[in-house]
Formats: sequence, C-alpha cells, structure tokens
Amino acid sequence: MKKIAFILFLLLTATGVFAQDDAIGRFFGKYLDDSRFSVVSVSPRMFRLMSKIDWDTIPSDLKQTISRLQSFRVLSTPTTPALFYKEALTHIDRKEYEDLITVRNSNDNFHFMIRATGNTIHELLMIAADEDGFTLMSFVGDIDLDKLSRLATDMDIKGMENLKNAKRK
Amino acid sequence: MEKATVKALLEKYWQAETTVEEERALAAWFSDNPDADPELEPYRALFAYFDEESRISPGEDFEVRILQAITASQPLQPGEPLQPGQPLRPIRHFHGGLIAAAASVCILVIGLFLLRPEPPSPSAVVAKNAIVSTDTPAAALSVAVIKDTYNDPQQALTAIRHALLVASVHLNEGRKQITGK
Repeated sequence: MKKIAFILFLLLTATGVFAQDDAIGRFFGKYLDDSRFSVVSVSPRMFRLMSKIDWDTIPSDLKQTISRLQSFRVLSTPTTPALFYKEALTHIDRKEYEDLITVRNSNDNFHFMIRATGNTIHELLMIAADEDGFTLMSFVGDIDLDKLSRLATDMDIKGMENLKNAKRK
Repeated sequence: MEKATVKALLEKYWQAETTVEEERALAAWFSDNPDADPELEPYRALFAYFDEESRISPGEDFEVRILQAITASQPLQPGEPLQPGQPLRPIRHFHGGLIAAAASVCILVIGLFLLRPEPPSPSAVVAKNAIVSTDTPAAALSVAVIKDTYNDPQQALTAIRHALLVASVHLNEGRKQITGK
C-alpha cells in the first residue's frame, strides 16, 4: 500500500514537473495569433542562454528567482479588459489551478492562480484587468512566492510607483 | 408340412412372432408346392417375390459402374480424370477471399480510428505559427512550443525582471488587502 502511494506520488510529481505547457498555451492559445493581443514570450532555451550573461548587477533574490524559471509568457490587449478578465477566469481548469489572491479595486482587478504539487509551485498565473487593458502573465518553473514578494519590497517606493506607471508603454 | 401347420405358421408370421427357421420353412414350403390351396395362393406370390428380390446382386462391375457414374456427374479439374478406385476427398471450399476482405475492412476501420486527424491543439497552433528565433530547424522544433520574443538574452532578462516586479507588486498589494495592513 505504501509502495503504491509512493509510486502514485512520483507519477503525480513527474506529470507536474514535465507539464511544460503553460496556462496561456493551454487555455488561451487562440489569442496568441489574435491581432488584438500582444504577446511577449521567453522560451526555456532563452532561459538557458541567459545564464551566460553578466549577473553581477542583479540582486540575489531576483537572480535566484529567475534561475528557477523555465518559461515566461505574457498576453495582453487594450480591448474590452473586463470582458476578457471574466472569460479568462472561466477558461482555466480549476482542478489544476487554484486561486491564490484576488484583488478587486475600483479600477484594478487582478487574480493570482497557481499550479502546484504539494508545496512546490510549478506555475504562477496572473490575470489582470484595469482601465489600460487586460493582461495574462504566466511564469513556469519552481516558484518561491516569498522571494517573489520580496522583490518589490526591496525596492524603494519611488521605483515601485515608476514601475506601476511604466508597466504599459 | 400340413396345410393347417402352414396356416398356423402364417398366423404367427403376421404377428411377427416366427423365428428365422420357421420363416425359412414357410418360404421353402411355398416354393415347393406351387399348386397348393388357392386360399394360400396370394401368400405364395408374396414369398416368391421375397425370394426373387433377395437374389438380385450388384454384380461384379458394380464398383466400376458407380465410380463412372460419379465421374460423369462431378465436374473435375481439366486433365485430371478420376480413376476407378481412387479415394474420393471432400471438396474444400476456400473462403480465403472472404476472410481477406473482412480482415482488410477491420484494418481500415481501426486505422481510420487511430489515424483520424485531431483538431490542432493550442500549442501546435503556436508551434505552427511560430517565427522561432533559433539557429537551426532542429533546435526550432525542440523549443517550438514557446516562441521567443527576444533574440538577445539581455533583453529577455530585462523583460522578465520587469514582469517579475509587476507580479511582485501586485502580489504584495493582494497580501496587504488580505492582512489588512
């Protein structure tokens, strides 16, 4: 019985690790070719190439976070953000992705979801909608939420504000 | 044998109670006494008929004749006449054609089921339309699922860094809301 449980655990872990496809590819693939959307992608290959560049100026938390990522993808559009936000929430398979944090402000909606096995997070998905547009952001890899949240707190408030203002060019 | 005895035996005969010996005696008596009692005349004719019929034999050339009859009525392979005395074999009906047809239909059906074109999955669509910024076609295939926006790792790093910070900021915002700070 223990053996079976162990094997099952291994299988589940394995499928979690080897499931390379991110939520954008799986649930929003049709928008990747949609002219209303803009896509930013960084493939696993590019992540490997990044290891060759100069990391000396990069803070260690950021460095560690990035080194554990496998792929990254953003899908965004300025058209009908509220509509796409609603649609996105219905598209995602709730058996695999669980809600992490939902924020609903007067002009800002965002929703964090994770795909995890045990305590290991394999994918962090951010669905956001504000007056500027709709954004879907997916990080695949081994994600440490504490490190991720520290990235912002390490910065000064001014930098954070700049970032918020600059996030849509 | 007396007439009364014959009558008694006949009576027994019709009851099917006579022995083989008694029947033979009856037949012998009828053949030996052609001008017996007119009362017994019809029986004499009957026994004479039995005797006559039992003498008919197939004859010595019976086997040859029946084989010839069979040869005449059976279609044979050209150039292969059936010889008298040759053992007959049952005709085998070859259903190979039918079996082959059934098998090919099975294979076709299974094949169509297995090879039926699947609707392209989202990742396949991405792969198909990807303008992959890789050096060789082989490398393009291996990482084709996610196409790269940047060719320069430094640019990619900047984008990741930016995105991570945005995510981090939002994450902290959400956490603040939850903890009420």
